[in-house]
Amino acid sequence: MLYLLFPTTNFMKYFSAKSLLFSILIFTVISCSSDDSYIPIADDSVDISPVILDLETVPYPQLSDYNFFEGAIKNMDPVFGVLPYELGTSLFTDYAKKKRFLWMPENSSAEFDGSENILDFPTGTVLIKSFYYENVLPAHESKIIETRLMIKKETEWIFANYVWNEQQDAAVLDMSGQNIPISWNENGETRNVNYRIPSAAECMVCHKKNDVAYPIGPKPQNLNIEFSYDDVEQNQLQKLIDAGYLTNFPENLEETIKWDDASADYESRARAYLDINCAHCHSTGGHCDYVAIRLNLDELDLYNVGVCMEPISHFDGGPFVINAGNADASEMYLRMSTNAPDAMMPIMGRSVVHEEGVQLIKNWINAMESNCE
Amino acid sequence: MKKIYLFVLIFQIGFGLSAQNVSFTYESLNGISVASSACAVDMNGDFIDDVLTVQGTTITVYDMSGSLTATNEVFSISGMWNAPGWSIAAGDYNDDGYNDLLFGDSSSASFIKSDGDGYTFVSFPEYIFSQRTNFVDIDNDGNLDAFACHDVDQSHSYKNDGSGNMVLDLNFFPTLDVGGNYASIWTDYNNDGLVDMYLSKCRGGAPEGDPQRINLLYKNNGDGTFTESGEAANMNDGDQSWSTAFADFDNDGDMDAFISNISGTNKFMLNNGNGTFTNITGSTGINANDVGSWEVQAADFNNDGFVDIFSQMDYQLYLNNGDLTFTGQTLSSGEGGIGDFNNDGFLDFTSTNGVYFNTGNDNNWIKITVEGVESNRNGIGARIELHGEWGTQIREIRSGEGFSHMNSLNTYFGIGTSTEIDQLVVNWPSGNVDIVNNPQINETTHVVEGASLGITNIDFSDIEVFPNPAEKILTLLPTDGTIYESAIIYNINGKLVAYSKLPGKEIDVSALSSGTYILLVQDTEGKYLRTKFIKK
Repeated sequence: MLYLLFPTTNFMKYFSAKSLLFSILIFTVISCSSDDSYIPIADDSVDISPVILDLETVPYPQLSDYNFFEGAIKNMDPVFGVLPYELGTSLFTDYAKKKRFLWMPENSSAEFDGSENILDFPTGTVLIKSFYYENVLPAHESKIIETRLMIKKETEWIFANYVWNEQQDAAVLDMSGQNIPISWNENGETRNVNYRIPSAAECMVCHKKNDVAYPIGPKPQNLNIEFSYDDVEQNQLQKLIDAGYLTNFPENLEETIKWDDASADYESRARAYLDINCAHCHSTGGHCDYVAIRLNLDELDLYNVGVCMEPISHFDGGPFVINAGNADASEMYLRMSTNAPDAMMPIMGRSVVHEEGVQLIKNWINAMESNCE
Repeated sequence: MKKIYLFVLIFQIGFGLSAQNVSFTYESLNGISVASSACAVDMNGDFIDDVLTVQGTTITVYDMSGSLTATNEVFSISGMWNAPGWSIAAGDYNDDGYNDLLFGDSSSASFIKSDGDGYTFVSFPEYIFSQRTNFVDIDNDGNLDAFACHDVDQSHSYKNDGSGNMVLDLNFFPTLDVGGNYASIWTDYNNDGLVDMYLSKCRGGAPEGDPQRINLLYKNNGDGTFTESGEAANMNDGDQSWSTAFADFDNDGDMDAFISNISGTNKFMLNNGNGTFTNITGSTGINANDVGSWEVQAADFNNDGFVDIFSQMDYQLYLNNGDLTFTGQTLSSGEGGIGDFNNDGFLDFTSTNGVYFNTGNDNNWIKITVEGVESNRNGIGARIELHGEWGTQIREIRSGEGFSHMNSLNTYFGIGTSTEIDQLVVNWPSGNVDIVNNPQINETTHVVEGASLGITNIDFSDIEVFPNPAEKILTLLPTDGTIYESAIIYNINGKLVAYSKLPGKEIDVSALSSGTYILLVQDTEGKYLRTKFIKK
């Protein structure tokens, strides 16, 4: 009878059948108590993830070669060991929707490495991110464009981009980059983008620190949110611990504010937005580190975020990076609002303006007391 | 060289040490916004600079025709999906008398080919995050090739097949297989008559010494290959450069450089005359710490005979005082693409929303327009010399200046209060040299390649030679202490047949076949003397 509490079969993917009963018992206990401490099970008979990963031969020619998914590959149903996750605030990529997964080799786990740093992932980790649109015209179908992998080899992360075919039954390794025009319907409105699949060299523009390849998204704060694992809400970091993928994280770890959380204040939302969309370049060791602004969340001095800071070189109409109280005369807002290649920010990863994100930045700046001179 | 320095000194005394300020008046272009990659080049073949703007699938050419009121012509270009988002270059690569264009955009580089009536869009599918683009005759075969800097990967070179088609070939001008390539400026830094290339490089986050951020100097070997020679020249700057301006700031006959950096310090690099450079920023009066300017260009805006620096620094203009010091002048208008749109001999510029006309002053000037025959039609890569009481001024014809702009392909010199020009020399990429003695001031002189050598013009005799006819050794007269630097020999059809780096007085002509020849000898001040002689 207890099994009926877990009606979906997908749950089985994250916990082996043998450990399930124990998990259920634990679950029953913790459901009735406030004690959140949970000790992973050391069980020799845990199922083995069917993922195939040989660091000597990756990247494989086809996405299916890794065996990350079961059933029709376009459904992206993860096999045992492949964990879905989301980011509290994620990067804007021409309104593409994203599905993220991660996988680690057996008996290896990531370490917490400070709230602002990505987790210290073990060798063999694979971060999987698929980019797709819904209601793609003319047939109003879902269409997966690409799946990007970052694979951690012994000494470095590598990139592997898989481009999906029209039939959506295969995705093939392609590191040369290409443009895909997409038209889709969003809330009754037709939108068009010339979606850019990046080349390896383009990946490296954003995904680097001191010119060493680096993931951007999985910072602990940004993972420290609830995720619905087959209708069971659970904290993602706790889930990683449960799965044996993370050793620990501090109890008092803050949670990144969701940029579109209307109940939160503009500043928290804007800073979360800038952190994930801009800070990989605008931080020390990033692509734009020679520009003085620092947009990472742990930068506490608002001058360094750009408030009342003069642009590095003359920018028409924007005497300050952030002209407190006047978004229309702020370099940051103007750059985010344009598609002119030599003025737009970010410099890649978008071909259209993120209207809602830009509106947030505008509201944030306009709400500031004007004090730049 | 000493003589030239003396001239510089006299010039300074004559005109005082402080440079004349420059002022501009603004005129909008009917509300149309100019792309930030400004284009200030003649598009309709009248040798008067036009302003070109790009909007979606249309190009608008503002034909200034020498008047202040622009008329515009709008061209719709079928299938054009590219824009000069990061840079623009112009040059007549199909050799039909009308300039074509090269757009450097964030994911591609495309050519826009003109035929005088309209334009055809020629795109390349290969991804390139373009930065500076240029037209230049890389292999010196007389046809314009092209180059596009790549921000994140190896830069692209395009070879002209001779029929007006570009072929992408990374091995044609092989640069390092890394990104960080921001601005390529094609200049003859070592005065060997061959166009070299300086590459400004920048890569944020790259550690010091990383090859993605070390500027490179590609020396032309003269056989279609280039050798990186930055270390020997002291030009491997690593402070993150977006662009570099090359000009002869001290009028000593070689190209100096001002490197605009994004971090560290800006560098004013004085050409030592031997293919090496010395950093003299500290004595120039230019703020070395005012870093962050994407754009930097050089032009003589006040026509005082000394080239100024034009950039996005706090002083948009650093006016050249003539003694290797500069005086800053702010411009509320920013900077842009440089040309003389109203044909008054004073350089104007175009930037985002219009044209800034130079209000000028009383200084004299000359404008030179050229037409290559054996060389590319625009004369891109040509070195132009102007000799007079000031000594020598030099310019190069370049397609693609600063970080993004396309400046006039015409050549402008200011000569201050001088009223006479001794000689104008055009050194073509082909090796041909054309000479115009005493060209008119405050006017345009048009030079067609080889025309000053033509059979109808050979009744000149600036120098005597002995014996004439000659069989073996031709001796330059008079036989006093005068020394000549070099000699160039053309046949009667204007074809260059021999070049001799003297210095001296005797030329061995034994290898020439019998016939009439034209001889040009260059004196120590760079001026040319012409005569004809007969080989027995």
